[in-house]
Amino acid sequence: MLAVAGSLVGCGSGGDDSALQDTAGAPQAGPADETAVPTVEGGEQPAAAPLELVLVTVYFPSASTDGLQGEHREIFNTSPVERAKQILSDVIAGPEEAESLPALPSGTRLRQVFVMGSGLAYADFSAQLRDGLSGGSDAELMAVYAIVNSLALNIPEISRVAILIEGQPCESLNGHVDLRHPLAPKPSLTSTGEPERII
Amino acid sequence: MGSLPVRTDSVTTRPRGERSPVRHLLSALIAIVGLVILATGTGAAAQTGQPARVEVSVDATGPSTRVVLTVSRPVPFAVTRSGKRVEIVYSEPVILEPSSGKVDDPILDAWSQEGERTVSLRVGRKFERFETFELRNPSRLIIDLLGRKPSQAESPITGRRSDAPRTIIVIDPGHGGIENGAVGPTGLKEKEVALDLAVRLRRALERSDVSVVLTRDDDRLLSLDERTATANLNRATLFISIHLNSSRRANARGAETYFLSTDASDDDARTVAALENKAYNAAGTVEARGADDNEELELILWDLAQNQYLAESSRLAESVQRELNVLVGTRDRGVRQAPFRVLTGATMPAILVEVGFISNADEEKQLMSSEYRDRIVEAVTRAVRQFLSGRAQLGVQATPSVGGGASQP
Repeated sequence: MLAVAGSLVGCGSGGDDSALQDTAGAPQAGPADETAVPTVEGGEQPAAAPLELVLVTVYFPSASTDGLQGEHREIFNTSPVERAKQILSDVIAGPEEAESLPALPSGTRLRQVFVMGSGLAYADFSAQLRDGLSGGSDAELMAVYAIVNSLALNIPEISRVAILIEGQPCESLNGHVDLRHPLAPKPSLTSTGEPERII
Repeated sequence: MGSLPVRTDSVTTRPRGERSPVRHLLSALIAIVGLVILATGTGAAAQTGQPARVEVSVDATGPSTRVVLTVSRPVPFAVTRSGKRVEIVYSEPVILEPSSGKVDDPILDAWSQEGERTVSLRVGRKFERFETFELRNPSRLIIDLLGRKPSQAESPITGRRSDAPRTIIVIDPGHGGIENGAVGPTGLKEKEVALDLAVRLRRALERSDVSVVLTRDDDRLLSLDERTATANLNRATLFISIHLNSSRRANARGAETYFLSTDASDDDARTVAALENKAYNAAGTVEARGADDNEELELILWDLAQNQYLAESSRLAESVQRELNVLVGTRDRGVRQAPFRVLTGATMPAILVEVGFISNADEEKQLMSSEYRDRIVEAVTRAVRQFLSGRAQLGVQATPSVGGGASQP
């Protein structure tokens, strides 16, 4: 079930993912990936053609202040899993505005996305997401929440996101953020120029 | 890791009644992650069927004498007392390392291996009773031998509080070993600065009446759970993890103090899943309760451990952030919350301090200077003192009573 039956050490040994196609490309309206997880995917079907476009906000680390900054993108209004793939492709592609910085290490690829009926999404990335990240909790927090916020704040069917590396559960990308459990979005990380304040 | 696939099967193929596939998956995932944690340090022994190794360490410096048996992989055991002996009987042969030893202590005389499966502690004249608890990753049995040591015999008469709970602060220098952490523009490494700051902080705090334990005092890689376990094992009053930040933002600078963020709904979901498991097992399927269930529950308990200390963690974080704001003198930063793994299992107020951005050329330069490091240490020390004195006024005991023993008369 899911890709957790293989090596159980850490967050995957990386490298060979030839079995999986690169899913980080252009949005695919076809049902190809649905067959990968028939038991959990439920009755999810891609929306019927013709596809309309919807506006989403994709999050990147701000270049000037703490936190994340939104950039608008248009994606095809397809199934939640397809929308998730399009959004994560945009996160991987990086920001278009000078106000924002890339969230993920260059070379990071999206391997798979699963969306469960419960609102839990699994986003599976290549090892580069972990290995290419510079040390420091800020970089790690930004990468994690660029992914989580971009998915959970745009796709109503997704409320929490679990990040996998090479198909494996991952304790942490770089020794800070706990990835053993799915994360809810942190809207407070969206940059307002003011730091997050706790009372 | 030979035993893991088998256990995985038992988790994923066990009938689960009406549970949704999602719950099933989630709990399987949690259980598997738990097994991964558990497997850390099990080494090749489990694979080859060799006896588990049991390492003995004894700390007789405190009011009670603590024996820690670190097992190379989890082995069921029972602890019994017979006359002048406390015996730990394992369910399978083990190898004790060292196989015997003597202790200069009125509570514990010596330990030795008896037969293939038994570790025997020969207790001394002052021994009265024992308490035990377990820690994971690595798997450890902690036996506190309680009694009356000579130095303590005086205090009931004079009424002096020589047995007053000590304040123990565990400081955790981030990263280490192959893990450099963040690296500055000219190559200054987070792991090195964090260690140096921790050592300086220990020196500064020990000038107050505080005991300090470092999770590492050399360039060594520790798992995140080990770091937290050091704090729990020492029944620390506070846990402070020291880090240096890095960002792609060129202007990122200054200190950030974090305490744990927990998504309440997450915790609820986990708790419910655990209770469902328990209820389901209790309701009927007669199955030998494998280690899985216990591990799953303990993992959940570990994950919930910090929750009850969040308010205090937040106050400690605020205190530290305030002082570091003054030090850096740039802007009024608030404390932050993040799901940092190292804070999760801590059974005491726990914070993670990012003392500065090593990625920022100016701050990297500052962080190279011994004087600036001392100023950081002064700021944190002041903050810790403020927090402790505020806590004392609120009448909070310095040492949490988890596991008991340490503050026994």
